[in-house]
Amino acid sequence: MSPIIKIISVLLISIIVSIPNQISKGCGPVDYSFKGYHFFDTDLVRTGSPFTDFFLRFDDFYHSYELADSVRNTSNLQEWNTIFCDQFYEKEIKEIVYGPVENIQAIKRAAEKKKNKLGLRLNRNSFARHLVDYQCMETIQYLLFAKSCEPHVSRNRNAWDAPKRDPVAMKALIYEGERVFLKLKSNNLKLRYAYQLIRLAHYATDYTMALDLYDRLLPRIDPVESIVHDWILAHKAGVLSRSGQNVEAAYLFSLVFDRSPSKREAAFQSFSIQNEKEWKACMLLCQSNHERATLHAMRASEHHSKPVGDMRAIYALDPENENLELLLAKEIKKLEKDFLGIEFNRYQKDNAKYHKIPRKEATANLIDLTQFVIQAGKEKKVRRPELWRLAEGYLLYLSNDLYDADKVFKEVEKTLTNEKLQEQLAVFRLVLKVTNYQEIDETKEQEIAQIIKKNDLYEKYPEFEKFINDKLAYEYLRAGHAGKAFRMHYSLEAIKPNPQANIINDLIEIALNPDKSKFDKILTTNKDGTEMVDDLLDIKGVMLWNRGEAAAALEAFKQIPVAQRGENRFNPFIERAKICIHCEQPDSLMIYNRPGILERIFELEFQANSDYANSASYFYQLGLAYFNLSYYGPSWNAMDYFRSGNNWRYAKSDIFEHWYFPFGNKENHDLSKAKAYFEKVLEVSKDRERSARATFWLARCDWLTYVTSSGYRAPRNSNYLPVLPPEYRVYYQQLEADYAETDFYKWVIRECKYFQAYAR
Amino acid sequence: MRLGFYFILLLSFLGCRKSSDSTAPELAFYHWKNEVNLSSAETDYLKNSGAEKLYLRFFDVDWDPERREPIPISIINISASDNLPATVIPAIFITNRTFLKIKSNDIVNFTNNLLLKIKKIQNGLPNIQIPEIQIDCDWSEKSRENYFHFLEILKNKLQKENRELSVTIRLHQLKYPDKTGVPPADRGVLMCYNVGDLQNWDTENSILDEQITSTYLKNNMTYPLSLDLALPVFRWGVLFRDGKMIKLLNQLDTSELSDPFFFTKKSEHRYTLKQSTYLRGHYLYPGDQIRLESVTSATLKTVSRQLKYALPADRRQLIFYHLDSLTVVNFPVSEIKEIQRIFGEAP
Repeated sequence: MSPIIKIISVLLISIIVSIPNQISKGCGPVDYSFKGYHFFDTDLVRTGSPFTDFFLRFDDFYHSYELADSVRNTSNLQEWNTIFCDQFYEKEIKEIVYGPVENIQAIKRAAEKKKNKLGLRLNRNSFARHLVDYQCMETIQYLLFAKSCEPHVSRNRNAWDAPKRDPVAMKALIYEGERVFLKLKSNNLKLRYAYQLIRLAHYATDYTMALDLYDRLLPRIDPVESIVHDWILAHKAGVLSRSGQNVEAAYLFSLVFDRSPSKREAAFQSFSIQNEKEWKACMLLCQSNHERATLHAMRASEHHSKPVGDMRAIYALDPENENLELLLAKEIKKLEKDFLGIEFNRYQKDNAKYHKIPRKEATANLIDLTQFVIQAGKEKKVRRPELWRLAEGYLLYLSNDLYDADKVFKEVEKTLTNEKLQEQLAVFRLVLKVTNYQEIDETKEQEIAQIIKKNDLYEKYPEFEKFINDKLAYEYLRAGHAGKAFRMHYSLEAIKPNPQANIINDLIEIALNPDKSKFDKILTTNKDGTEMVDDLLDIKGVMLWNRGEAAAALEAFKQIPVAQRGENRFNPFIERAKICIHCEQPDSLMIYNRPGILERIFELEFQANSDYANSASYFYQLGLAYFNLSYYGPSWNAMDYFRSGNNWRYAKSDIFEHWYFPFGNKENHDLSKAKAYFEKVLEVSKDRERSARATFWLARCDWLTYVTSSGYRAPRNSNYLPVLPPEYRVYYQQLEADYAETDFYKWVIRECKYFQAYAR
Repeated sequence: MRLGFYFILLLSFLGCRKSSDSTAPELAFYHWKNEVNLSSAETDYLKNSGAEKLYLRFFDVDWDPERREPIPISIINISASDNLPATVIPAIFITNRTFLKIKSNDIVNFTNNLLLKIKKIQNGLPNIQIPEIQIDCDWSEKSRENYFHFLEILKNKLQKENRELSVTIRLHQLKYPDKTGVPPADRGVLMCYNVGDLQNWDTENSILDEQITSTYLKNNMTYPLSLDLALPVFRWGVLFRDGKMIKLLNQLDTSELSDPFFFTKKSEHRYTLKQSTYLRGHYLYPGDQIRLESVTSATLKTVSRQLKYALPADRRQLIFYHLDSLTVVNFPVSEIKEIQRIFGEAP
């Protein structure tokens, strides 16, 4: 096997084993998520910006307390360590700061020399030892104070409990804390006390006190760099918001958003501008263009925003603002969903139906962004103009302006020094190349094989696999190769429950072509290396048989070499008293393969029409055979490949949607042939026992036809017999009226408890 | 003799009036805000309409993916309870995903938590009777088993306290009880609002549309639960961006869209944004579309007649959704009373 074939084999096997995520109402794993491609690597804009996480995971934004707590705790521990000159492991500080209050009490006792020993566990903690050895009483006292504040300010573990806030106790803590604050030496600890007190006043809903504490305590603290400033600011913003000072609150929230990673999401959630007047007033409060740009960035980050206007404003105010690149990445991701591969994305209809993608005004948004990106790339005021030029090329590509996109990619190639940007350019060019493929011939198939084999990007960017498969499927379909198009996504198994003539015939034609290309050979080869042609002919035979074209079906089966025809064996000519689908039958009776059944049917039909004396017996066997070959019989799998026990119900054209089969699962509910033969038995038979049997089979056929008809509604969770309309009860009544004296009738009366219900 | 004849005639006339009025429903209102502090206008409105009950939304319940358990959200804050009527019914909205996610083993615990939470809130309502609890959940086939199991447990617990359990019923659940199941509760409230396709820009009125309700309501329908009726007296603006519904702006009024610099009126209830601006704290972009939806008195009357013939009943409640300062202005008591009378009229 040549390397190319090997590569294509790998590709196809990966296609074959992958489960198609077709949206379907059939039972199974239904996936309603958007399905498309994305090639813009958001890592390009992850340049250490603290806003990256906020902007880039905003699509699936969920306010996570745990995440915010974890960011806050980590930065808090880092700061504690910084205060102590990074002497300790953060886990040691964590054990004390976020550990049980008993730890701090033990440290306090040891530091006060009431009890020298810390205990084995705490003694191993160098932070605890340091607090004791250096008698850091202010710190220890602060930690104890913070612990006493905790119950009033923490969320409950049980979400069903109301917050345990005791305003009297909270006020007492505020007074106690302020008393200590006034005596403190450490500005860091002063700041932390101020935070605790303002927070207590905020949660005690004493907003006047909270603002008063802010105004009184903060000026008493010498400048000190700390994350706690922003925590305090967040509480002040919250208090102002609760007090109706919305503009001031919004401004402070924007500062917190800009500066504090742990409070960023909460600040964004709380940031609220009600009207134009408030927006203008908030802008006036800003002290710098950076602060003004932050307001625009927050507005641009709203869910469902159209950010280009705000991006222009940010660009005008602060062109190097790091949020610009992040907003660009976010917007490109949206536009990729709208435009990338829209022509050949096979989930296009589902995306439109379930996600309204492409968006109604996506084209206007694309033009708007492209114009801005061109301007930013040209003026070179942004942090990385080359990234903007690269984006320009990609946006032109998304606009289907492939020529200009290519031109921009060529121009920008010379300016790129950054490896990541170079790789992104290569990805875009490969996307462009694949998009340009049309009228796929053997040469192009070879080129694609080379991409799969040699291009590292194919391996690195898994999106290429579905992008190329979808593109090829689209082009094959356009060229009239429904079979090749089908094989780009599915294995042969996926079509068996409802074979489609155009696909099967196309694949058979390819398979039988002695001059087929290497790619076509792969498409018509089974996983085990055997050729697919026999399977295809078998499927074709079953398909034709189901359509009522028995002679054509036999012809298709007979094209399969004799040795390959006999794997599955059936016998639909055996009569069973009770309906049985999965009943065990001895191997010795399983003497027919598919063409064998058809040949026997033809033989019986001939005999029935020539041997008049015994024609009733032949018609009876034919009726039996067609019943047994149906959905309700033990030989169902001669005329079908897949049967679901859940399908004792109606479906249009008998096709049941199924998550795995793109064309659904067609069940063989049709009993018309069986009925026609049993009715012929009644016409020609002189044997009353046989006629009684045929009548009973006809009654069964009517019963089954009714329960799978569109008018029937099965009662839920009930074992009651379906109520048959009179036209479906005719044969039950006939059996009782005309054949009551037969042995068969007596057997029916004895064995079938339901018979009486329908015979009346 | 003649006097006697007239006396009998008068008596029979009064008798007829009496029997006709006996089918007029009792009035009640929903209160669906977080903050409970009824204004004097709202209190007067309640009194004048004769409503003696208020259905108060106590809290919602949603599934918390982090905690992996249902949690109460948007909990009511009762600032003032003096103006409330003598009877209050706590209404709890539970999201369908709660019952999709919860494990059946956890339902008892969830029910206990929910009852405890109601009782805690109830403590803030001294001298107010709470004879019933109402659960609002638009269950689906997959959540039905858990939801119904929850209702069974809750109903048993409430029975011990001599309280009733009522549940909301959507129109499709009324029409197809075999498919959707019938919740195990003491009573149901048929929600006759939010009937249309809110997400579709072409929808005329998603709140109430007599054409749509007529497809669900047929004369003399039967439902295994006694049904009260809930009718809408609210309005909202439905905001569309890029063809997709993105926001509901409650009680939005035409006057807020009257500035031609920002808004273009496309038709009777449809507007398009010309210029970016803020509206109710939301930043809107040129091209955004707003559909104003409200309920007219005429539609309410038509639907009331449909309901009267579809679900004849001797005694029932008519609950209006929902009481707030704008309802007081937009739906005078006289109109509410007229609708009430429709149910009392002889067929």
